[in-house]
Amino acid sequence: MKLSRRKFLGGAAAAVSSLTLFNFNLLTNSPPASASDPTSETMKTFRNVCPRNCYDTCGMITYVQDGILKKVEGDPKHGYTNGKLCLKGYAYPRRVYSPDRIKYPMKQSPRGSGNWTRISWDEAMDTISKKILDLKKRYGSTLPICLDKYSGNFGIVHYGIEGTMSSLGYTTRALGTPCWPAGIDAQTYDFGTLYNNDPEDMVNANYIILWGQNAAWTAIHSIPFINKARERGAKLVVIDPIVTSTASKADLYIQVNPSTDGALALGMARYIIDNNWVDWEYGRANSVGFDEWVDYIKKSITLDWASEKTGVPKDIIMEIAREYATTKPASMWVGYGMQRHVNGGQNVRIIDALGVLTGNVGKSGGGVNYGHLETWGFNYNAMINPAPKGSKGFIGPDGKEGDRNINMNNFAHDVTAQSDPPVKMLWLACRNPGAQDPDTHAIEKMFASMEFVVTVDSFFNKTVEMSDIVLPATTHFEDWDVMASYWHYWVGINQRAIEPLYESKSDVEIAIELSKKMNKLEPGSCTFPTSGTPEEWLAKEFNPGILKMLGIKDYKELIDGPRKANMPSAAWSDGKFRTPSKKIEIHCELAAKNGLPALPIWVEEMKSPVKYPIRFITPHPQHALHSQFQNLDWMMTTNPEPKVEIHPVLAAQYGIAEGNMVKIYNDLGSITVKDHLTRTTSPNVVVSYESWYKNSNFNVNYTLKATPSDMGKQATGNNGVAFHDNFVMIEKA
Amino acid sequence: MISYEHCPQQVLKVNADLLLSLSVLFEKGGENLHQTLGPFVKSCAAFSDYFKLEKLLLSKETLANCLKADRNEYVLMTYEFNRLFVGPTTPEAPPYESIYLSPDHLMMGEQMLAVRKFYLQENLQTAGKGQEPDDFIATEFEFAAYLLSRIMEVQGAKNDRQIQLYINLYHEFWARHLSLWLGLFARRVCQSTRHPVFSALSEVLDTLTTLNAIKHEGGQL
Repeated sequence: MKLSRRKFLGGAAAAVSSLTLFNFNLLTNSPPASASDPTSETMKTFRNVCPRNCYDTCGMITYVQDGILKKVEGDPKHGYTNGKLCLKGYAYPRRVYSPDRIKYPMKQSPRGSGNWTRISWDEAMDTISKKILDLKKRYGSTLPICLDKYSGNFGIVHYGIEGTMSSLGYTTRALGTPCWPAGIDAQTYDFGTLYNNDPEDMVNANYIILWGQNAAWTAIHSIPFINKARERGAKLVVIDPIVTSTASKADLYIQVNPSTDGALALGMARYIIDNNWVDWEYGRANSVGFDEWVDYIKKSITLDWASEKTGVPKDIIMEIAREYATTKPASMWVGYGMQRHVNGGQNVRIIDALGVLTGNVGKSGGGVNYGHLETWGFNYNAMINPAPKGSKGFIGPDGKEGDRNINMNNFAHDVTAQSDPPVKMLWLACRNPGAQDPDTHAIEKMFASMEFVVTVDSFFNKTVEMSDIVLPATTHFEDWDVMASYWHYWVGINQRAIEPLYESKSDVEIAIELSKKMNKLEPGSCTFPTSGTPEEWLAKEFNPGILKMLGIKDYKELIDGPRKANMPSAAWSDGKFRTPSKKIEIHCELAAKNGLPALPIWVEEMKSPVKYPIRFITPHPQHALHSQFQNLDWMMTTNPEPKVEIHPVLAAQYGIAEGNMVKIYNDLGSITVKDHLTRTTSPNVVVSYESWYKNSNFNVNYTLKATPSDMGKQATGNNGVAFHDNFVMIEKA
Repeated sequence: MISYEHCPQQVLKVNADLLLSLSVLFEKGGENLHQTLGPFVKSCAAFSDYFKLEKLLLSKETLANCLKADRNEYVLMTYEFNRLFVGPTTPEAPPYESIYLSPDHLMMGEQMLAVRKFYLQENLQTAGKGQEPDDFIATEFEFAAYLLSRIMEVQGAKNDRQIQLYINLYHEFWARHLSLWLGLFARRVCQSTRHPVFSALSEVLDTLTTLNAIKHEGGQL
């Protein structure tokens, strides 16, 4: 609207007197300066980082005008993001300004009824605090309170969620990681920890194997580096049970039977050994058990066996073995899907050993690349709070008093199994077990048995649905934070670009409010600090080590642009492995001590039961991240409903045609979903991408048992979930 | 054309009272319906009676009955209010202009900024600027009621220039904002609600929209 100066003066003059005559509730007098210049502010830019559980952890430039987030772009100063975002990233304004956002603290009476009442923050904190104090009084400790937090926001300041619990006393904690623990342990046994080459270093590869890795969907910013290598002549091989988008771009795609990746790597190793393409010098100098493993392969592995086991023709195994061993440097990128099996960690160990066998570890353009945590050395200041004086904890096997850890990957069972004291209250943040945990029916039953459930979230999902109180969480644009990646080497600052919307608060702000209320009700009952601005909390996360790694003197330098860690581009190029022997442990005593094979030998995959002969694989979706993003309008427009992909041959066996509704079931539960017939999957595998659709109860985990993968406990506290060892029957619904 | 300067104060008052009661009803939320429904029903009755709106007879009766509801019924109304307008589930009828008029149907659209400029014209801004969108229905109703109160005030002072200014501002605000989305909002409430009190509310909102449109066309206030 165009305003004349005269008109404005008239209005302004009148308003001065009107304020005494009209009883305003929502409007108030504005500063004269703002009224004199009602035109739009100039566009401001801020630096943000996508905090999602994703390889790419993109640097973002956020454009803000009049306090409104107008658009986001990739940060051109971020060498990995390189000025571009994925669809999810570009959709962020739609997430921030979705009408579906949770706006206020809300209380549900009774839980699960859908009867919600808006409450004030004060009432929310009062109700929660009184419940905590009540449980503490009844049970003599805060152990009946259980925290389940994971990857909804990987910002470092968000570890204040753990800090919230620490400040209350010793609590029960969901320990572990659902995503990648078997692979982490595999690399921990082999190399001492997980540590990948800089993904930008893939430009130096002459041969690239993406093993169970659909980067075209889940790590799109790596694709340009792969393409640059290909422009120089590098060959791209994709090994996957599914013909993914990444596979469709490969020079060679190999459809491997699920869970037999280790057999394929062993077959390759056999052919490499038979042809003496082994890097004996590297293997013997840098590892222990190298010859022992070579002997095992010679005695136990044949190409015929590998071919039969994997479904990969012998000549193809020979081809990729020869090419991988002789086209150096050769890079392997091991995806997380392939370790979600009962032998998944072991398969990663075998692939690790294949990299050692060919001397591709520690080389630029090489590596057996899985992930890393090298750039995560922050203070975790918000996480570390002492338990209040006199707190009673759980006495662990080592005799030390502390939190009681339960298995995040069998959460429903483990919560229910606690009896001394039982778990009575759940606090969920950055986590949606209602959608993401195995055995959804068990999760529902466990939630129903709780006395009290608090969830912090930005959107209404299955977990919020099962909560007593939901607290509105800020988005990362409304918060200060710093983010590192578990794939690339960049670290970026996340500025508060817009003010928190409605009554949303960050996890640290929630902890501050809770601490104030707890101490008001019972002085000394909570140690979480009650002061500090969001930026001050961020500042406390930096230490000399991380500043040096990033080549800066002050965290504020990150406002000028993200920084890449000063690390060599090739992981392990210094040959300083972090195993007990300081060498690559092909023979790993620690693995043996943990009841696993010491050597990377073949471990049988899970066989399908007679009753449920079809494997049900539930990978990551293209434009969503677990239960985030798919509910947004763009995603619902392009992908309005879930589907199951079925091979036409399998579909014909069950009288199923394109577009039918199909019931997928086993002893645990069932889902009914529309099908799409496609040859991108094999005739014994059906595929549905796990996601949370708006206004839908679709959830692949109704059929998924909490079957543990073989590894994870050593480095992450608990084994992973064999998500892809799920067997079902199908029928036309 | 009726002269704005001589618009009866009673017309302005029944309009302003209704708008203000609606503003308070939406602002205070479902949890305070036991306090806000009474003034709304009263102002609605006065509005309906003054303009002899037969269309609102049933709604008036419904609202009067709802006003007499017991505590349990008020609790049900609270849940329904939140299901329709607040959340945490997807609100059936989000009470924000941008949702209905912006091309993307998102919060904080251009409409919100345009409304903000109207407020600034009167040296006003939302109390929680940046947190609650300026195009929240309660805020728009409050601003509209304020403009009517200004007209009454300057009429009393017999300030013709000011009278004309505020009448124009009021019409402009209605024409550019409330009249464009209130009907859409009312329809969505009507289609989504499971409780008669909100059916009646939607009827009142719809009537208010229609009546203001007629009045604007006819030059009456």
